[in-house]
Amino acid sequence: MTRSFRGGLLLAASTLALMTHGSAARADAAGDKILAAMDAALNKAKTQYFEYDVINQEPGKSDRKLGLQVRLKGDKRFTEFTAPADMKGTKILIMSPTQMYVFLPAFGKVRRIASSVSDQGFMGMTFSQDDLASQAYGVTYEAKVGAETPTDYKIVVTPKAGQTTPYAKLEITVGKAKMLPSEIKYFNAAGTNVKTETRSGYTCEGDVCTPAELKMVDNTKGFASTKMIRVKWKVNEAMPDDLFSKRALGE
Amino acid sequence: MIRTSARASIAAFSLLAAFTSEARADDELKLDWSGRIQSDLRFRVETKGIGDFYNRIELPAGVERNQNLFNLQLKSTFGRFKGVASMDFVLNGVTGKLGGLSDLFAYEKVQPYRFEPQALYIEAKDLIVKGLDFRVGHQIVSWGVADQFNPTNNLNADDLRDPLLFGRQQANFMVKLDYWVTKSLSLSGVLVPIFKPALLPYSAALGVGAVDRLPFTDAKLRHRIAAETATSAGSQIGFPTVVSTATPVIADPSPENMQFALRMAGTIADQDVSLSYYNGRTDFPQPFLNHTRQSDGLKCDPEDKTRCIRGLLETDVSLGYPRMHVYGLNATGEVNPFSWISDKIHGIGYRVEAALVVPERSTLKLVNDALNVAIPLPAGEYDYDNDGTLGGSAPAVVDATPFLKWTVGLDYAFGDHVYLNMQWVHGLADEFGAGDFLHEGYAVRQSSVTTSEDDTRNRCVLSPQLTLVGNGEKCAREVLAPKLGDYVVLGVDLKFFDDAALLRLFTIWSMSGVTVTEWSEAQQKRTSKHYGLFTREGFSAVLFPEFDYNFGNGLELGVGALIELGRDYTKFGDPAAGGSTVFMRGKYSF
Repeated sequence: MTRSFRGGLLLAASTLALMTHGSAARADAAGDKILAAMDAALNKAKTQYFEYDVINQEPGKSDRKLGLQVRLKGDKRFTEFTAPADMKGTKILIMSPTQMYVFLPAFGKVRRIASSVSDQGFMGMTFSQDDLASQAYGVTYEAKVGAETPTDYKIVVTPKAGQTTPYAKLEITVGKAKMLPSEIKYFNAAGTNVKTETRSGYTCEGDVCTPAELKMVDNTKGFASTKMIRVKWKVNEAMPDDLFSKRALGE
Repeated sequence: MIRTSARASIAAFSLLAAFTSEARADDELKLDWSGRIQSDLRFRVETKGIGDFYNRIELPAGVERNQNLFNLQLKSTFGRFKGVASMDFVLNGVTGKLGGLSDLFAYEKVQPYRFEPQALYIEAKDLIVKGLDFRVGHQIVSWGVADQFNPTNNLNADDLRDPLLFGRQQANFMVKLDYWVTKSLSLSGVLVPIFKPALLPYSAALGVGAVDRLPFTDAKLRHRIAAETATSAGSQIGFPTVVSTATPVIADPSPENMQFALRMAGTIADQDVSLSYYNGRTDFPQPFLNHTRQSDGLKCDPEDKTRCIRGLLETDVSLGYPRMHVYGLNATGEVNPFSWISDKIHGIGYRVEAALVVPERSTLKLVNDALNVAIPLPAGEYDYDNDGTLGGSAPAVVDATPFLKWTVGLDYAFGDHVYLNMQWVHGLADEFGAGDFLHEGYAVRQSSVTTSEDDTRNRCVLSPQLTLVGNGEKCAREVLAPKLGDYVVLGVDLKFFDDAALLRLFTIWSMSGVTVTEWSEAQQKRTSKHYGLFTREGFSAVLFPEFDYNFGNGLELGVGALIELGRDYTKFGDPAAGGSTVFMRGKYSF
């Protein structure tokens, strides 16, 4: 490697680091407490099973529909496409951020996928894989209280020092009643609100509550949006560990 | 005593019954239908042909494929048990040659069609004991982790009929058992009762015309035969050699011809690793018997009436499938050598697939009827060692020397839109036998003579005293390539319009080049000259650009081209590879 090229890489790395951490807002204890309470409310279930109807909407174009089955257990996630027909049977298993597999029925083969793929769009959805995977924000983010109304907290969330996150800042509206998010605004390093997610129609099974509808609007793509409508939901159903294995994928 | 053993038997039977009849209360029968309709239109951009006027075979420019496919798949699950059936109905719009007026009464002659079962099997999970999975029927077992180039996928024969679907294999009847020791460690065993050969593209028929590609491993024998065939084909004798028939001979369905394979697969430190063993046969044919006969008959080139032959030496070739043992290693995961630069840089995916192949030595026996072309030759076997006595030890076309094939690949996604895939492939699916930078061995891509007709006859074939010279080294010129070539596969995907549009460019570059060997009068010995990838003589590559648009709700349309570059003797410029095509296709899944 030439010195100038290596120097270029280092410069690029420094710039990336500045972009990631330069805009960090100072957290406060109250904000962190709300974030911790929200994380706790989001992660009460041992296992969850969802079926979603997914609608991708882009201005001036007809809707595109997807069907998803999602199983969650701890950090593990097993997703299967049920629609459209050309995607049906495609399965994605995430065992850890660096151990992911996809089963493509057309090839009849389980393929390991690298974590770099998580940067890519997720079947045309405005939700990235990171957006869908994020369930515990307090691990990588810290928060401060931005505003408070009788029903909601508004917290400003920024990456903890030394943490690499997909977004430079989040603004989360947390409902006081259930301590669950109703809106999340995602900001890039330049401070632009790139995406806005709304979670509505929360219902509960015992003390576990989830939204009936999630909607993500991508402000950088002409306000294209993805709506995930929950059509089936099971909480704390027995899910053997085998379900989150290559065997379950079809190998 | 009898009572005790009877009791034990009843207890054992009850235990087995308890396992086998175990069914959960919430089990229910689920039926799942799906299918697709696919249309595929392709054009060959230039005529590809091989052979001289007396044995010319051509693939004409124009419509190469006009195919419509209907696939229907049924999956039925009931708890731990599953049955899968998948069938293709293929309507081929390209009508073959009609044999007569009667063919016009037959729909299938004018509109050829066929059915192809793609899967037909039953499966049981946790059969008898927890962790034991069983699958029997028409299926594909794919253990290789590399993309499309899989030297350890030997249980199923290749299906190379469609070059755009390279790496595809054909299903075959198998019995497969997987035992999951833990959720990440498995032991597998597969039995394949009946061997199936690879399905070849119809352009492979042009390979029959390439009689100069002598398959022998012994260079001296090749030189001698090259000189003899050149002499007999020359204007003075006028009896060129042609291949009249090539007949694959499949092994009997006897127990000793069954194939089997074993595998142990697991995850170590987040990396997936497996070891495998396969005992069976190569699915690509190797010649084992050539039978030559003389057929007299004057024939002249329609385009040059001065070029005539007096007859043909017609050869019937029998093709076999040599046995082999394959020891396989697969590893896949990700590495991140650049994490020190930034945490934003993700891991690079890697795939390593290697096969140590131990082949059975395979020989080619040459026999002929009585011939009377230059000098009378009695019926019998070829005099391989030129000792004046017919026969001898038949020459090898595949040595028993073990050889390695491998694919090493890396892939990385750059942000939302760009995906890059790179692979180093050592030995393509049709390459078999030792011959690479580890162990010398060549495949003949082209052979001829550099000497005049008289010199060839007198110096290398038949002396003026009409005795056989039996040494073609001063006459033969060969274009050689390693038996196992090295190829770089580079591919990039660009996705845009919210993943609906895909612009893909995949390329394959033959890195091995070719070596030309011939007699040097100046040096009084045979000399070799190598031509690498970046020379006109050695260049050979495939470019595969494609654009697909997914309209959603199951509809996908695409256009692209498969461009094969290189001279006729190179891997991809070979007419038998089919030539360059442009294509458009549509698919609707439901």
